[in-house]
Amino acid sequence: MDMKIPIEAAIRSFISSNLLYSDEGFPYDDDASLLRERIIDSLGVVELAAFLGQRFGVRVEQAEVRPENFDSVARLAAFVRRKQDAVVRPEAAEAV
Amino acid sequence: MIRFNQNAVDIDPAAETQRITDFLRTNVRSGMKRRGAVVGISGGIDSAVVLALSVRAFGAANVTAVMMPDCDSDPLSERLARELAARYGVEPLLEDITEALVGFDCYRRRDGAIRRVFPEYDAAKGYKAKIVLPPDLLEAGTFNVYSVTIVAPDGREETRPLGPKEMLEITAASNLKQRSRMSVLYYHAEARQFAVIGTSNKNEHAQGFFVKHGDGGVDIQAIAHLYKTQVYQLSRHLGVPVDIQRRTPTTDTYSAACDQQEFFFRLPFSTLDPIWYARENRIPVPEVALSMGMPEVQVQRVFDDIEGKQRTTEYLRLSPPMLDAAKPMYA
Repeated sequence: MDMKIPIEAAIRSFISSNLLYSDEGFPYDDDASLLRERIIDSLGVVELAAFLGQRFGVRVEQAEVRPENFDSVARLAAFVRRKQDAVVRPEAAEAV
Repeated sequence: MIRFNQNAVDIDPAAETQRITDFLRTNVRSGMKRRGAVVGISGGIDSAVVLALSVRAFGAANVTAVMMPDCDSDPLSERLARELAARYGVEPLLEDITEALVGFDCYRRRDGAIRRVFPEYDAAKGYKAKIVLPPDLLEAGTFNVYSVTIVAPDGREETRPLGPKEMLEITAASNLKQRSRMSVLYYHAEARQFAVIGTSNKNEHAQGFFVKHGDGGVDIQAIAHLYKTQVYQLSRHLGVPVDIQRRTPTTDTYSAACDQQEFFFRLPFSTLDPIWYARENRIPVPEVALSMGMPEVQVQRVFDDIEGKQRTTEYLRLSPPMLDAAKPMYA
């Protein structure tokens, strides 16, 4: 099953409802920088980390809370997939 | 053309002292119709400089210095604050805000949130706590995500990440301290027809290291335009006690010792301030890196961190928005 769309859609929906407080959905590209576009602040990052744990069952280590993993919907989704792969195939953890 | 070097933030302290004291006198006396100044003194460098400037502007007889410790404060703060007040001929007032904070349930609320992260945390048994950011901004491009560190009675330290709920509750409870101090300062200001003089420097004000309606709740900002290193330059000119000049800047908000670098700024002011100046004056990253002897990637990290903090704390500096007058129905 292709999880690409559900992961991105769930992240966009969470950000829209819980960080943007927006009635207009998520009006950005998946590659848009969440920091540069003023979409998230440090609290938003913490909320996103908690959301990833609850929604996708991935454990987010503090050292992983970095722009490379968190600064766009696309990066967040890729991070979730790597973490999920690492659970299924532990050798993939090296890539996380 | 501006040529950048590490001394770019150096100022003429005598001229700047004159400029600030004129600014304070004009605005407080002519603008606000207030007779003098109330300054909260903490034993730190910023309030020390502001007290010295206020005494120059209004005379010692028209300046009230207030010490406002609570049970978490370092006793050194009061000792240094008394030394400071004596240096400038001001009789300091002591207002211990612990009981007010107990009334606000500050400690119970804050410690309850800490215990959800560290169940063994118990202030009554000698545990201490502080909130910290990831260390060393230059070495890692991490987000400004807070963790809580506890210090056990035997000195062992442990740090764990804070969840969003705990982070908000600890911050909200801790901010009761600054807002209580603001209330005390305004009591003394109103009782004397004085103005409350702000003690935030540029680093704190522009990057959002202050509490809205707490230490940000003042009548006039005396040094909010000065980088921290410029505050130190003024302190030497104004004769601030050397022990205060040498003291590591601290939050003095949490029970465990916590300096401003680990709590908020993530690198020394001697590094931060010239780079910030460079960013404000559009000095190219390669030129800054060359002058500072740092890799360009580190300079860019500092640029990004400054921009991020300024952007995400705009709310703190925002005056309450309000509408224009309503349109009369029969106009």
